[in-house]
Amino acid sequence: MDDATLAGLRTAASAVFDVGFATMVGALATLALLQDTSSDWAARGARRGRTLFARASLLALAASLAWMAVQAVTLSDMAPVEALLSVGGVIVDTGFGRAWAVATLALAACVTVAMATRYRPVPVRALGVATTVIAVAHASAGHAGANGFSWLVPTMAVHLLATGLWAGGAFAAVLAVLHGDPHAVDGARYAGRLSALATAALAGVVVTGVATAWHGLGGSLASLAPDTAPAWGQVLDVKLVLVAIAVALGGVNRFVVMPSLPRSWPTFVRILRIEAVVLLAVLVAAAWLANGEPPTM
Amino acid sequence: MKTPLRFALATLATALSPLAIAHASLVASFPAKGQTLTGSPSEIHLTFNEHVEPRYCRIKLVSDAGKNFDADRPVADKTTPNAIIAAVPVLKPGTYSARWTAVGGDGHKTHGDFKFTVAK
Repeated sequence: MDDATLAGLRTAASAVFDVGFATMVGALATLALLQDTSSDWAARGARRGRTLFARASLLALAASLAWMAVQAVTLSDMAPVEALLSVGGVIVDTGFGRAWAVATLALAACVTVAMATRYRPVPVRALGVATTVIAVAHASAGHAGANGFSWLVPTMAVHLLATGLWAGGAFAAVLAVLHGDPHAVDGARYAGRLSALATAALAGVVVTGVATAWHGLGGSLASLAPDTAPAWGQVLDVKLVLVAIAVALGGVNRFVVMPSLPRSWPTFVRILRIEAVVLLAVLVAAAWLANGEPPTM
Repeated sequence: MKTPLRFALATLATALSPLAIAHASLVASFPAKGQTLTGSPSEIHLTFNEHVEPRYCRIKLVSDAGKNFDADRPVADKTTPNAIIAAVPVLKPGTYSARWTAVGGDGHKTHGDFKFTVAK
C-alpha cells in the first residue's frame, strides 16, 4: 500500500473519529440539557439521545481501531495482515500508541455502558469523566503530546471537548431532539440552553485555539504565507469560511430567531440543520489539515 | 475591540487551532547538509524539531553511483533532545545521499534527504 493511500485512510479514520467523538460529547450534553424536563417531547428526545450516544461511541471506537491498523501498516512497511501483528509493538514502544490504548479502552467502556443503559437513564457524569479521559488521551496521541506532557495536552483536550459541545451539540439537536412539534415550555427552554452551551463552547474553542495556534506558529503568522503549502493553505481557507458561516448561523438563531420562539421554531430548526452540516464539513476539513503537511517554520 | 475584528480573530483562532503544529522535521544533522568530511563517518546524527520514535525511524545512504548502504537501526541520542544516532558502514570517498524516515511523537511519518561528501 503506497503512502498516499495510507495517508488518505488515516485522514478518513481521523475524520470519522472526530465526528463520532463530537457526537458523543454533544449527545451527552443533550441528555444533561433535557434532564429536568417533563414533556413527552423531551422524553423522546432523551431516548433518541441515548441511542445516538451509543451509536456515536461505536463509530468512534471503530474509527480508532481503524486508525491503529493504518498506523501499524504505515510504521511496519509490511502487508496489512502481517502489520496487524505489530500493533502490540506500536502500543508498547511509542508514546502515541500508549495514549491511543488509553483512549480506546475509555471508548470501549463508553460503548459498554451505553449499550447497557439504552433503555434507562445513563450515568451522565460517569460518561462525562470517560469522554474527558478520551479527550486527554487523544490530545496526548496527537501533535499536542508529541514532546510529552505539557500545558498543550490539557489545552488541546479542552479544545476537543469544547468543539464536541459546539458541533456535537448541533448534531445531537438535529438527530435526536428536533423531531415533531416541540413542547411549548421544554422546546424554548432547550433552545435557550443549547444556544448558551454553544456560546460557551465557542468561547472555549477560541481561547484554547488562540493558545495552541500561537504556540504552534511560534508567535508569528509568517509560516501561513500562501506559497508555503498551497493545498494545505486552501483547505485552511475553506475551513475559515465554514467556521465563519457556522458562527454567523448560530448568531442569527440566537439574536434574530430565538426571541420569537415558539412561533419561529421551524426557522430555528432549519438554521440549526444547516449549521450542523457546515460544522460536519469543518470537522472533516480539520481532520484533513491535522493529517496533512502543514507549512514548515 | 470592534465587533468585526473580534469576529475575525475568533474565526481565525478556531480554524487554526488543532493543526498549527508541524510534523517532525529535521533541524540539524551530522554530517551536515552539503558538508565534506575528511574520512568516513562512523555514525549519522539526526536532530528533529520534536520527539521521534527511534524504533520506527530509518536511515539509508545512497552513493552517487546508486549503491545502497543501510545504516543500523537508529537509537535515541541520550545527550541531545529529539535526536537519533545510527552507525554506518565504512564509506568510500564519494558523494552520498542520506535518506531518512522519521516517526514523530504524534505518529506521523515524515521523510527527507540531504547530501554529504567523503573526500579522498
